[in-house]
Amino acid sequence: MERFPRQPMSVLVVDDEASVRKFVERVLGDAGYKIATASDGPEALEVAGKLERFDVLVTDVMMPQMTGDELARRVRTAYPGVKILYLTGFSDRLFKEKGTLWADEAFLDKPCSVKGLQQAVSLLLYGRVDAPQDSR
Amino acid sequence: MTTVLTTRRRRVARRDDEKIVERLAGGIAHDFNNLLTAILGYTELLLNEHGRDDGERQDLEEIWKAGQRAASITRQLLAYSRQQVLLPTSVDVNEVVSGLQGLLARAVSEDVAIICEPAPESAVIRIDRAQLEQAVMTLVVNARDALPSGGQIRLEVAILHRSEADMPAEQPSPPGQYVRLRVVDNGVGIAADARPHLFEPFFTTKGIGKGSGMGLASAYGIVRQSQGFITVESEPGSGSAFAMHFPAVTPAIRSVGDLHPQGRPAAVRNPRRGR
Repeated sequence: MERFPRQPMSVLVVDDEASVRKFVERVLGDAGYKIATASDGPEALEVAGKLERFDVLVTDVMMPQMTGDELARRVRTAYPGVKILYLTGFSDRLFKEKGTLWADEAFLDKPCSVKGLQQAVSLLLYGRVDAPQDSR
Repeated sequence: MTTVLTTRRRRVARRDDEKIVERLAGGIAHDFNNLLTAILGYTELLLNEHGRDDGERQDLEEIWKAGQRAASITRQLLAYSRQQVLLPTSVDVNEVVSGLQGLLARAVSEDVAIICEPAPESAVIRIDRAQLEQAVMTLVVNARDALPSGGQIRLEVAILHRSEADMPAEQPSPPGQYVRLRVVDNGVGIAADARPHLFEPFFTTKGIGKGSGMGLASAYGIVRQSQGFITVESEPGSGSAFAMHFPAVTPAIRSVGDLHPQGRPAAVRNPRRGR
């Protein structure tokens, strides 16, 4: 029987701060995920439309044009099942008013550690902090 | 009449100033958290590549430590700006105080006695437990610094009815039942001219390099974000008492309000998980 290489899980990283975007890309890329990036909400939706698969959205909350919360709402509608990780450096009012998180959401405080970031994504995808090596 | 009006005007002006400073603090914290994510993150990546005996590792550790310190000041700025995400749960202040007792004892020298006086009944409030602990810690550390040659710090919990007359005018809160947590020391006290500025960010009497001046400002932010108020009484030479007041939670509210489980993982805070 022929074996096909499994496609890696795909993560879309959205942050208006380039240094954060690059860092998250580097860390999750090292962990074996396939990474796409965008610097704001509208660009993120455009990039998402071109992705072959889309498993996790890692997004900043306070962004010009479209908040991370609004982006998440649209992503959830267009791509049901996508997990969402908010990176909350500045826990803005909008996010506070949201009250509760959906089942497939989590948030991580900035500044976040390398390990914390990898564990958060893994927790969302696999329900455990250490991702199984062969499933990515 | 003129005096009343002037006082009121001054109060309004002060509240406006406070809002501007809060917004400024929140904005700075936002940008700094982004930059610190990169600074601390890349330092961590480099640390992972350097072995224990590597000379460069020590330099990297110094960068990491300074970054952590900057992150802690940023957290306090956020607390002051009241713009951080809180995960309030029903918390019994009696339990928090007794739970912290060991930690507090380690934070003071041997000639300082820590005495806890819980309320006879349960003293439940809605608050982010970690935030409350941070505020208590801040008050106790300040009390410790006011006791250079030893003394005692009392933590008293009480449930009281508070009317408008009991509240500072610049911290309006609804009258009703409050849980009061008082941190009382018999130390050097606070000079009268310093008292009006105690809760302002970056105000410190501890001397340059000794305090960030953000401790009491962040405690103030935490209390205000939890719909409470904070007061201070002090007599130079005989001590100070800081009193945090939080709205008491009635059992009915408690049962429907408590949505978040305790003991979330430090890094990931997903209130839904495991509920």
